[in-house]
Amino acid sequence: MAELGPVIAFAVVVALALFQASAVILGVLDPQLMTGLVLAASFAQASLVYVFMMHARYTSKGVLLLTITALLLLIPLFLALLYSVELPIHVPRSR
Amino acid sequence: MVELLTTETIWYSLFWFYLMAAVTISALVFGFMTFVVLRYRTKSRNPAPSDPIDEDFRLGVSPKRGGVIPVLVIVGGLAVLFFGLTLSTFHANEVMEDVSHSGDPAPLKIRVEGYQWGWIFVYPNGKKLDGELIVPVGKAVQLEITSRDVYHAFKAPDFKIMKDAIPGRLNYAWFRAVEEGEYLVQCYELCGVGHARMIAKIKAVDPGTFQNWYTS
Amino acid sequence: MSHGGNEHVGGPNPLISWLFTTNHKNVGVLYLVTSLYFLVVAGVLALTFRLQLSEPNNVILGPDAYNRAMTLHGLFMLLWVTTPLGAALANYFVPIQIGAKDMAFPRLNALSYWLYLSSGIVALSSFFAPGGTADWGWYTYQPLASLRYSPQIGGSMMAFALLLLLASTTVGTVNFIVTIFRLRAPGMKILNLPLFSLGWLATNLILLWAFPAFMAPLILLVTDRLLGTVFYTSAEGGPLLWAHLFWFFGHPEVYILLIPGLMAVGDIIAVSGRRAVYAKPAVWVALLVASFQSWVVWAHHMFQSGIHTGLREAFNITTELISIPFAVIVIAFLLTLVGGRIRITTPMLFALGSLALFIIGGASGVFNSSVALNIGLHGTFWVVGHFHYTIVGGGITGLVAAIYYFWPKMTGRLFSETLGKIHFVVHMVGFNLLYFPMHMLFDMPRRVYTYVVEAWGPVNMVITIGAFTFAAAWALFFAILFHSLARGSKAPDDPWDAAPYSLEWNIPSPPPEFNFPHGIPSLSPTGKISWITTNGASPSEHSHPHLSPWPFIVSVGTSLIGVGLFMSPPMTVLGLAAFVAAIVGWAYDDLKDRFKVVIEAIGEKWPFERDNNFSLGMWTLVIGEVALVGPIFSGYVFARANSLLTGFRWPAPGEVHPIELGLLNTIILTTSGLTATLAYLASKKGERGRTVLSLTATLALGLAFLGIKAFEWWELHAHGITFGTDIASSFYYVLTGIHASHLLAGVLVLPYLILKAHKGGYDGGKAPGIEMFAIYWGFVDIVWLFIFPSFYLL
Repeated sequence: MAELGPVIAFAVVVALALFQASAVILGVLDPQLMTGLVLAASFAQASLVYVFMMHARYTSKGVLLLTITALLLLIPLFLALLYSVELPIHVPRSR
Repeated sequence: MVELLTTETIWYSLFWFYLMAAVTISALVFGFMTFVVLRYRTKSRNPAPSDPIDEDFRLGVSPKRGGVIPVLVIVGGLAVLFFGLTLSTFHANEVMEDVSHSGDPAPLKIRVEGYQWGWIFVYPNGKKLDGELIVPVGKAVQLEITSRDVYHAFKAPDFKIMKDAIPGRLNYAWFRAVEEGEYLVQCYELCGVGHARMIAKIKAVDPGTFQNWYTS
Repeated sequence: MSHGGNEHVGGPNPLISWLFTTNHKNVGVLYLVTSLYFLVVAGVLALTFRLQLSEPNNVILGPDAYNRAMTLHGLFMLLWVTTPLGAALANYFVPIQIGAKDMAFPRLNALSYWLYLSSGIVALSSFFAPGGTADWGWYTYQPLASLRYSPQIGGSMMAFALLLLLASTTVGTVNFIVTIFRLRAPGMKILNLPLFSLGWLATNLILLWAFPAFMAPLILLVTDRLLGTVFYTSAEGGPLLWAHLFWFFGHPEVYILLIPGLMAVGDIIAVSGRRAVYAKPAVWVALLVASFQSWVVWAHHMFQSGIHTGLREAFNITTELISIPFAVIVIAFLLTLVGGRIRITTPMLFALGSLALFIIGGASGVFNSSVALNIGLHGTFWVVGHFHYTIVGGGITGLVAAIYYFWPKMTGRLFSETLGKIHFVVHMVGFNLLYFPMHMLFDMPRRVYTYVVEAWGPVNMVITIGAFTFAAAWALFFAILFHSLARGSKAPDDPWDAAPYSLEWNIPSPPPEFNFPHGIPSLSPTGKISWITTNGASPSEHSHPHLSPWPFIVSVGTSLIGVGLFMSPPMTVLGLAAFVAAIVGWAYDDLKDRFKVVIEAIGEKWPFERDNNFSLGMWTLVIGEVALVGPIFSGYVFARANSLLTGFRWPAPGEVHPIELGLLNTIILTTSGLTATLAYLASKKGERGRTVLSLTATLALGLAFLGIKAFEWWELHAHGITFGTDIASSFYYVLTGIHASHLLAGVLVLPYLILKAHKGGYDGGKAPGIEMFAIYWGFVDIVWLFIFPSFYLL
């Protein structure tokens, strides 16, 4: 049953979306924890779609390699942007 | 008399260090290149078919060509060189960036505002000059640089100081004039049609003259 | 240009066969001619401002004209000349060197070229738009390039032209990656490729992410200028957002310009010395390492912007380190010659010259990488000198060597060696006279239309004299090429005695339409080339003309849209009509299976053995798009972090965007992802009914999603929340807009897939179209799965 994987993945993705939304609407969690959980759920959903709906599991290792590379390339950009948030005043650092 | 620390002397000593390294290494490579080409050149203008071809000259990878040792020598050699260059760079950068290294306990603090197209200098007591910065000789001057409109870059080439003037942000630099005279200040980031004329001057005067002007 | 590729065309007249060609060699020739034309245009612009700068306080060119000429010179030389010049030779020779009959997607290849041409036409027309073209320098710093400080319409046109160019390059990159990975001849492992093809593969791995990464800030700029969003004018986004995103693309771009020339030089050196490349695996590793290092050096362009000291120190180190792999490559090239029998030919002279210039450029680059020295050098003519040594010296001079090297194969004509050697001397003298003195002007700001310091005058005069000498070298170059075409003696198949080294020297000059008259090439482990003969050349190859009018018509359409959008609305309508007609025509050709691609099923496919050309093409595209979406999301995080400091209150969850609607859309889109997957699985089993049903469900769900999205946009506008309300709304509209337009594109393709499935087009169990769609749709789902929390939940 080739359809089984995608169907289960679909169910999990929807469940995670419901979890995300209800966590935010109810607002019972600590905000930082909630942010973490919501983002973790999104990454989990994305991985499920990647593996089962884009059927990455049937492709060769090259595709995985390219995907990982693409994501790795973004990390320095992300960090550099975060390290550039120093508004409004950047005071020179003395060591 | 103790010589006062200036940003330009730090910069130039670092520059000569780099230049020495660059010239040495390029000379070695160029020397090797010239040697190889002259040594292995064939004179024949129109090579005959009999001109032998290296048996390894082929499509793909020749297993006989190249070991890992030259690669390691290059990587290792350059890594050591860069380690030295980087250490001296970081030291110089720290001094050039932080006015506390100037040895002056009470530097003169000036706010610099770039605009299309000119420079405004604001003194601690509120005195404001457009297009001219008057400073006393020997005193460390700290600049707080920003912009009123677009992206500019403040640079005084004689002192080898530069920082971008960006709207909404503050950047810092310091310098010290050791001789009386006029020095160029110019915008070094394209900022519109007036960019080339976005010029000001730093006028270094003796401390007495400065004090008279400043308190007047 | 007499061309072997046209011999089989027969029927249509030469003009039509050039306009409608899909043959990789013809496309290569078109690229070559066009990029050299743009080189002349951008070069003449440079001469005008060198004339202006020859003396202090000169008045030949005013600041307005200077800024435009300088901006166009930079943009054209980098994006419309050097990159496509590499692409020209790669189009012609990479398929031959890997042993393929054509590119994997010949029509897309033609489309790349025609989009490139139309982007160039739009960019050049912007020069004549009221108020002139972009005048903010090629790196388009903000907020100078915002509507407030640069309102001219030509600037927006230039931004549009850049988007077109990026689309062209992205299509080309996907095509090359699939071609090089999947169409190699038997025995042609990646490492067995000649250096030029190897280098072009590395270049394309950079291109795959660099150009979409440029598209990100560019889209934000275009929406800032056309829709009034506030990415670069608000305190939360601002100039540094642009600077980071731009240079994130901008520095990898430098290696895109350099590598094709440098690697061609490696081949020429090996051939001239008649020696195998020294330590080729090390060269390949160095190339890969450099390609990925190119992504972590960009902030050295921002050393003076006041970014964090630790960040600057980190980028200082990464920038220094990137010179190490290039040192490995250069030394390996020199060691290649040891023990050889070096023949000094014109290409070899240019190759050695290029290497020498690149060494100087590399050395001066180490100075710039120092955070401390950079203070004195940044923004000065030193930097101008440095990057011209690397790009013009290492990149373009290497490509000149490559043009000479490949010329006899392309045209079937030899050129005059004597003239070539004179050209070399003039080129080197002009080049060094032009760029070397720039290092002495390390106090003079770049990009000034004039200067007042008298002491800079004499050096500038020398530079200008050098510029005209260098221009003369180019005139001589073109004269030599024309002379060869008109009078050159007939070239043998292997003028450089390079047959054992690379496939192209084993076939006629110029090559026939499908490259290999002796059969399919194959390579033994010991490097021997042999030919696999099929039972007579398959006749189908020659009965199909392999012409397609649609790429050309798409390009006509986009040019008209581009120019019309800014200058004359009726033209836009006409362009749009042409564009739609071309797409429909293209799809109709496919439906009727009219265009046949000539691809051999045998050969090397590592590491993509389990994919097919179509699925790999789609994978490559969506993985490239990660670099479009990722930077925008990074910018979103940057702006949100900034808002904590600027005091802007980011809307709380549910305050602006109703969580319930977002959740509903998430479920709808995920369901459509499932139905798309089911359609693909059904098509694999050849179940026509279920395929059609699942595709139709996907279409309905996609439309439902878009409907809800449109309703949300409508409601927001009704409540006065528009593109430019604040940074939060800007990011919301643009990210959901990019997402929705992707979705819309998919929705427009669906009726075609449904029709084809309904007619039984996918009955055989092979449905590349549906497979591609499922991959694409999954990607669109994933993007939404991040948009949903970013705007609705957090």
